[in-house]
Amino acid sequence: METDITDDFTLWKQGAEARLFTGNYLGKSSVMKERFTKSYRNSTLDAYLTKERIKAEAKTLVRCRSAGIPTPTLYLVDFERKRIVMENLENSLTVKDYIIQLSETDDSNNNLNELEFISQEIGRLLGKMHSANIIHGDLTTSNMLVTQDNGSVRLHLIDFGLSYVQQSSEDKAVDLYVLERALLSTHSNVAQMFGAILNAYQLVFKDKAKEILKKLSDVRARGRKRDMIG
Amino acid sequence: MYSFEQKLEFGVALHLRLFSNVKNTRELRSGVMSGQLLCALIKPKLLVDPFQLVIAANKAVVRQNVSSLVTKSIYTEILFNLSPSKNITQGLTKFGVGDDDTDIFVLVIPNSDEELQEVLRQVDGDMRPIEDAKEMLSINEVIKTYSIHNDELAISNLLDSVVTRIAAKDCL
Repeated sequence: METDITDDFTLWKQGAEARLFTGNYLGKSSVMKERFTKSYRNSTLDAYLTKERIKAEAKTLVRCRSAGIPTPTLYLVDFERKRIVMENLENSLTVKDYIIQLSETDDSNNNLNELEFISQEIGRLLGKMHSANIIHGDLTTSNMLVTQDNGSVRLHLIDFGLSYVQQSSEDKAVDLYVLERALLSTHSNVAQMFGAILNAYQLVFKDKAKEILKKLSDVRARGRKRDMIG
Repeated sequence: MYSFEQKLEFGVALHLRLFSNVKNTRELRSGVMSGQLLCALIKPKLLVDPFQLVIAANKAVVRQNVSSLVTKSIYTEILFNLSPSKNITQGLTKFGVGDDDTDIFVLVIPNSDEELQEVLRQVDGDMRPIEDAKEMLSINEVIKTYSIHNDELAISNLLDSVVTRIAAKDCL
């Protein structure tokens, strides 16, 4: 067999579900996301779940683009090797790191503005996403990337392995709740961000946002799971 | 630039040439269909950039490696991959040339340089710089074929939109 084109890729991040590698693929700076076998799981189930997550990821990448939400360009889906290869958003920062970076600089006035701006962007994109009935399934500040080119900041959503399509307000409220928890646990100093996110969310997602925010308070009261089982 | 070449997975190389005023399209097509002529003959009208072919061909190479081609050969598979439709015939007619076409992209994945030269020798037409394909492109047709709307074009360039759909086709 010929050598693998991804042999010279370098390991970039290791997650619970997959490893991320970066390298040149077909002439483009790329990220390869390779899911691995979970040996503790029944092998048939494991293969099924892996395939479903790869499918969900690719499908939602297309759906999000159609809805006007920036996501990385997809280059290859490979069920056999459990990988997808996509565009490497160069010079991007996770929203998580972006917030940390802001909180470490001194210009506090400017920082508030930037936080306000990024919160609005997050709210706007999530409003668009939920209007298209896309549920992300794992909304954290690590799954949002910020790119800056000539002064203009753009937000991209990534990591759609747990995403699905659903109309119900319940699932959208849970999506928001997961993000709220993630914000509170990683960025204790920016608790006000979530309020700004919800405001922008309501502006783009007029008709159903009220109902979803009402659901959100139910979810807050009881936690992420609706049933006692599971 | 009269030739375009890109290395794909598994050490395979894709070669691309653009021809205009091709006089023997009918013969070329029957050669391809009988398996005598090893290449894909593609309409430039729906090709935004050679990278679109790179993604479709690379996907075909990856599938061939695990013997899971949907169509009969690597070349029909490339045409099928280009098409957003799951209907094979529709993909082949939409992206493959018809008997009356005179502008043709010839895509070859040869085992040797002789094989490449042999294919190119059969084409009776004028070789053109690859960049000239832009003049043969119909952006409106691309947008229609791949169902790309304005909301998307506000945040993405056309090539990225097309390429993502080609890669994700079997997940949709």
